Amino acid sequence: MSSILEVRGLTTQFSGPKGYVTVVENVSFAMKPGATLAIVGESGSGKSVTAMSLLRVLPEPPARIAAGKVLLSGKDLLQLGEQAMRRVRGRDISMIFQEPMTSLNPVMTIGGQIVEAIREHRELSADEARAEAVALLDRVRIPDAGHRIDDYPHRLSGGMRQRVMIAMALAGRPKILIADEPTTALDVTVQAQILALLARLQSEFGMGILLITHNLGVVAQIAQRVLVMYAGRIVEEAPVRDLFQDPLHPYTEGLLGATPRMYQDAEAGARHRLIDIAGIVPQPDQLPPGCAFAPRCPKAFARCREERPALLPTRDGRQSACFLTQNTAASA
Amino acid sequence: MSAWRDFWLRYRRKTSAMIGLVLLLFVMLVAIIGPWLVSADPWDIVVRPFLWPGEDPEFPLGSDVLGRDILSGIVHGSRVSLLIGLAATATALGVGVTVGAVAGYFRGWPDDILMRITELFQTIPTFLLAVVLVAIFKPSMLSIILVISAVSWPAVARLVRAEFLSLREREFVQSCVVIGMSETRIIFQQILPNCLAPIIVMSSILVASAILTESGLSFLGLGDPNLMSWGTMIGIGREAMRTAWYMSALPGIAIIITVLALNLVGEGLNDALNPRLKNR
Repeated sequence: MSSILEVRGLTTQFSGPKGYVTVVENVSFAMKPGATLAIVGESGSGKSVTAMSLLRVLPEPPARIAAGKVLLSGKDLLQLGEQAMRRVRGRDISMIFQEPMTSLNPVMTIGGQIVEAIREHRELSADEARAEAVALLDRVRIPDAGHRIDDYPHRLSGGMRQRVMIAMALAGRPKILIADEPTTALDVTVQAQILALLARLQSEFGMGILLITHNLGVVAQIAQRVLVMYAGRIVEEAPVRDLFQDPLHPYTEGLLGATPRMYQDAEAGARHRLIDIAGIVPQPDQLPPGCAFAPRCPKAFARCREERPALLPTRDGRQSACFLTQNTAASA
Repeated sequence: MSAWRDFWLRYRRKTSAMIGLVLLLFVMLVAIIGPWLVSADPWDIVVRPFLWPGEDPEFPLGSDVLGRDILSGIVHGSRVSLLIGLAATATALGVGVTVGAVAGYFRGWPDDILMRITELFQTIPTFLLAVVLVAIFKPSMLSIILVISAVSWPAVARLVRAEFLSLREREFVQSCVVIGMSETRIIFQQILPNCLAPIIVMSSILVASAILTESGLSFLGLGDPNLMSWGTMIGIGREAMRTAWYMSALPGIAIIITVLALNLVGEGLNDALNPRLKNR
């Protein structure tokens, strides 16, 4: 199947006091229609900046997209004018954010906001747009949508607000939905509901989802492929199953080790212990000369500190940016 | 709707705000129905000049230097004052909100240009600028409205710009951007309603200051010569200030009541619209 969105060598920089600092470097990936691709990584790894670069909604300046291509059905979004780009937003690619509490306009009814979103994309009369808004609220499973539509956001719970956000994002019937930490601010039970909803809407609308999260549990639930980002670069790409069973990059291993699990190791009779990754993600302007993860990596050796490993295919269509996996791939 | 009820309950709590509202409604009532109750034209000479208030029950507020009915002047003047106050404020809001919204939303060079123009207006003393502008144009109702709005929009623009600068960073704006909403829609339908509270409060003060400016202009003889306004009356009475002070004092009291009422209402609105600031 051909991909609907292809990102090639995306590099985003922010101007700082000492010139431009690269925050996202040479990121490439492809999205297939109707599939879910997840980007995982710690805070500050460049996940959100990557997503916002796709939609070109970073404030420029200070941000600038220094290189790369974002091909949407073959058309490079980075070459489009602002007017044309606005037609892409919402219609081709839409986005939902982490904070449902602040992502809705406090002085407008939720219906009003959805109607605005609908009428931005389609020529509908006020009544038609309202009927469409009720239908959308129904689709995101808001009970009693006909009445709820006149509520103000402060009367809704976090989960309900996130549903309203999703309804707004779907108003233009996008082909791709970028979900930036869609469940982080929600209760665990509500998280599960929202994820189930996203999965169901995905099959109903047939859209691709680009899921941005630091929560591997969320990834396991709805994603098919995973990109692991560290310090602005992709360090591993793999199908979700392979990634969980056999992580190639030490950073991925670290992430998995830091995730609580219930069943794993039970047969081995050992209790799984949470292992944290020591240290923090380096500032983008203070990257070490070699592999960015080397200072925190338990398996790092001399070469890691001097030379930066490239992201190279390993096996089964996977990619990894680590000398260790590349060595094993070469010897195998 | 319950939001309105809440607002009214909060507004009602403050006595001074209620006094202001009652006074304002009284002035508005006088402006609307008053002219039918008093003699038809405030310019008509109807009685002997220098009639003190209370001397003749037919003219309870007396007459001016030419024998014109002062009560009629004050009642007709309320119309002129309120009309000019409201029209000038509406115009100033239109210009100020647009300038402030564009500057605050787009930042960068539009902001620089618009704010330099705004500052240019603000460096010149308001009233002097108004005098100069009226002197350039022919004094008429329309030109006075335009002049007053020309000197009062910069304050609105700065207020709205400040609100927009902070509101545009809010996440709901970002979520409007990513679903492809146009800038006009984001500015006027999404952000603007969020800064209505300070704008409403400011407009009541703007009406008051517009009335004062108009009175000042009329007092200096720069008002519309065909309109009997409170400032015109004070100007007429000035010649007889030592012998018949009431001629200037009575329209002066009318100005005080109206401006005070507007200020009290503005303060009440401020408290009612920002309940969190209540315990300052």
